[in-house]
Amino acid sequence: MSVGYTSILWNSEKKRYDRGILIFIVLYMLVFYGLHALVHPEATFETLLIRAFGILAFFLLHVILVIGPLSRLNPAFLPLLYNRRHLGVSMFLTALVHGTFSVIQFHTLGDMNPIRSIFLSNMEYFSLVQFPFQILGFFSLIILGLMAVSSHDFWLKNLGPVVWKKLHMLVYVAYALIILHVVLGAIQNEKSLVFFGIVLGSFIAVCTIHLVAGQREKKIDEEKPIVDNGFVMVCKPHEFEDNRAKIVLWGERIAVFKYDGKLSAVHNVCKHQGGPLGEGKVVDGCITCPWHGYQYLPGNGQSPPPFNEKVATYELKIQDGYVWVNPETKGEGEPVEPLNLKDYE
Amino acid sequence: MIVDILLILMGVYLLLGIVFSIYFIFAGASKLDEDVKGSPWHFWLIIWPGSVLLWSVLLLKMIRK
Ligand code: HEM
Ligand code: FES
Repeated sequence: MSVGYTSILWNSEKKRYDRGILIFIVLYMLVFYGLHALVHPEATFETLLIRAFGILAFFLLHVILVIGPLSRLNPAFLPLLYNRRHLGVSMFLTALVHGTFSVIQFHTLGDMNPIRSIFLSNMEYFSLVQFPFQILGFFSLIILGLMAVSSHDFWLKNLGPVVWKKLHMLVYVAYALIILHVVLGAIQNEKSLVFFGIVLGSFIAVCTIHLVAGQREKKIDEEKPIVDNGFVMVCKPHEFEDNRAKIVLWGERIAVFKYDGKLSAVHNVCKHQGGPLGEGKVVDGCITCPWHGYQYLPGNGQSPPPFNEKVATYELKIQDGYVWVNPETKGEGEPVEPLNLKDYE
Repeated sequence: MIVDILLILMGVYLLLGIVFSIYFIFAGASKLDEDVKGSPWHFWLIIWPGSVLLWSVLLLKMIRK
């Protein structure tokens, strides 16, 4: 939120998340080295390091790619989404360790510049099975690096949301390059069929989860809401869960929250990076974005002081036993009297 | 040959980025965004790599402002 900057936005939940990432990485390394010591005792420490970090980066990238659509399909995954940024930076750092050690191991022994060597040590550019797969890893690492260095809120604000979003959508280009890097590399290193099966399975899983979540969104968008006198029907009052929202679509998505026996409606799109507010919760009296925790007061859509973000608010009414919302906004940060459900019991 | 040109271009881009980032950290950033004033040193450390890699976009933004 935009009052000065701190280096890393941490709160207790994010610290817990980061501790989780660290513990996972340490445990993974122990298991990886333990298993390899048993199965491939001949492998050198550096080779194992390259493999361990490559596979870890590959796995983390998959987690990052699927938690968005998975949270759409099932809110139980939302806690994973909350600090995806730190997961992204961790993934880049693990990929960087893998890339750096690969360059040291394979490209620093000759008299050629190591980066030049990535491009020139294997010139089989027109062969599919002999293709210099490390170049693909190199370019994907550059993309992941651009994303990691621009992940701070400073960049979102100063590059502007359009440029920032375009830059971060490049993750799909990086992903395609990494899949090719891993598959072509595995062909050259004559990996087992199980390895190919896991890579192919992961790729199919990412595509399928994206497609299913996209279909679900499309279906919701196509449902025609009931409209009466300019108001759109939301649902019956008892259908609301405490501190949660129902989302209605009428041109824009509107999130109607129930909290303290009252209802308030705000625009569903977070001012930070467009997170879906209606998938968040009311925490300490504030609507809290599920993506990175920006907060808004339900009654006026304003971030609590000293912050100054504002989302649009909407008027609600109860009629014929249903809650209705007026899709004409009152404006961003405009106070709207909450609907007191006790008045209708 | 193509590889050499590509690597030279990448090197020149990075070098210009390093030069630009020094100006950006010490003067440019506060012209672009007043909120950076009074930020702690570790904030600058975190945005420094970005100012090296994304210097061309930042420069465009600063010229347009
Ligand atoms: C400068 C960039 C990179 C270089 C030079 C590079 C190099 C290599 C090399 C030499 C191998 C074969 C290792 C072996 O089997 O002994 C490899 C495999 C692999 N790389 Fe990369 N890589 C780079 C970037 C990346 C990135 C960004 C990722 C993922 C995010 C990645 C993921 C993998 C994976 C999963 C493997 C298979 C590991 C295995 O063989 O068990 N690489 N890479
Ligand atoms: S807090 Fe980041 S999108 Fe809402």
